[in-house]
Amino acid sequence: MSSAIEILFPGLASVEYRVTSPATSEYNCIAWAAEDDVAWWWPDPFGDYYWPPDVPRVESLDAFISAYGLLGYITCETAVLELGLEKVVIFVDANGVPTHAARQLPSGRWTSKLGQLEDIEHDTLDGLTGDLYGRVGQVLRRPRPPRHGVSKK
Amino acid sequence: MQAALKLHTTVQPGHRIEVTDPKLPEGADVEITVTLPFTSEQTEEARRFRSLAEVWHRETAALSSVSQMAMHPAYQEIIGMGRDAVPLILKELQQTPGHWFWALRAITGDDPVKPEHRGRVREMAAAWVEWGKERGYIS
Repeated sequence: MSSAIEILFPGLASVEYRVTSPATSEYNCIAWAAEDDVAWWWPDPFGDYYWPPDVPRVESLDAFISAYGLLGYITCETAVLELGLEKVVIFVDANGVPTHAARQLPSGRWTSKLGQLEDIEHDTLDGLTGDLYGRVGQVLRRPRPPRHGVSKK
Repeated sequence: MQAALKLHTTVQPGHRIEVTDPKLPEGADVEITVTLPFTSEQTEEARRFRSLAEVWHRETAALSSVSQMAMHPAYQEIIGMGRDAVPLILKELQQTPGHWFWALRAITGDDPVKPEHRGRVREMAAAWVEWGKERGYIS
């Protein structure tokens, strides 16, 4: 395991996780949770980065919920694995501003892109909870789409 | 042919490399790799930029928020360097596409990125590098 990652996220030291990609600056966690690995998603004020059209370009939980809403996600109460459902969680800081997103895999584990660092697969969300990403602010769900073939996603 | 000696070294401007090894036969193949440190002419601005950029990279690598990245004190200090920072940022972008777009826009007031390339870091970097070449900031 990468000790550099565990320095940033001490909570990962006590849970199962594995690195699943090289580090890259080309996409971030918000994109990765939306199954996009070619663009960096963020509602920056200048419009430099990708943000879904017609979604308010503001750093608010509501705007992020709306962005994932375009992909069929709706809010729900629990991050527990449910048959036939795909879930995304949005982390927020102490001010309620989104910081991170993670997507649940069919196994119940989670996949996260860590900023410009690597993708990881992790057993629980607790491993990323802390100073850097804050806490889970919202859980979203949608019917799990069918998968074909072998995909990185 | 296998080189008799392989040497990898970093040199500063004004340094010279001299290889003396009594065990090397005359005419032996010697492979030398020289790395020139990224410091535009070793100016004080270049050293300052390098130092700030390293801090910024280290302390923002795990962030997704572009705003948080741009508000980092080291990034703000680079923006505060003004036009002196532009060629240094562009050379950095040439080597490794990264999130320097906020700084470039803030310093220059320009934006050469096509709408369809928003968020595509590699394409955004290429647009800024081309912009810099056209204006003589980099070659």
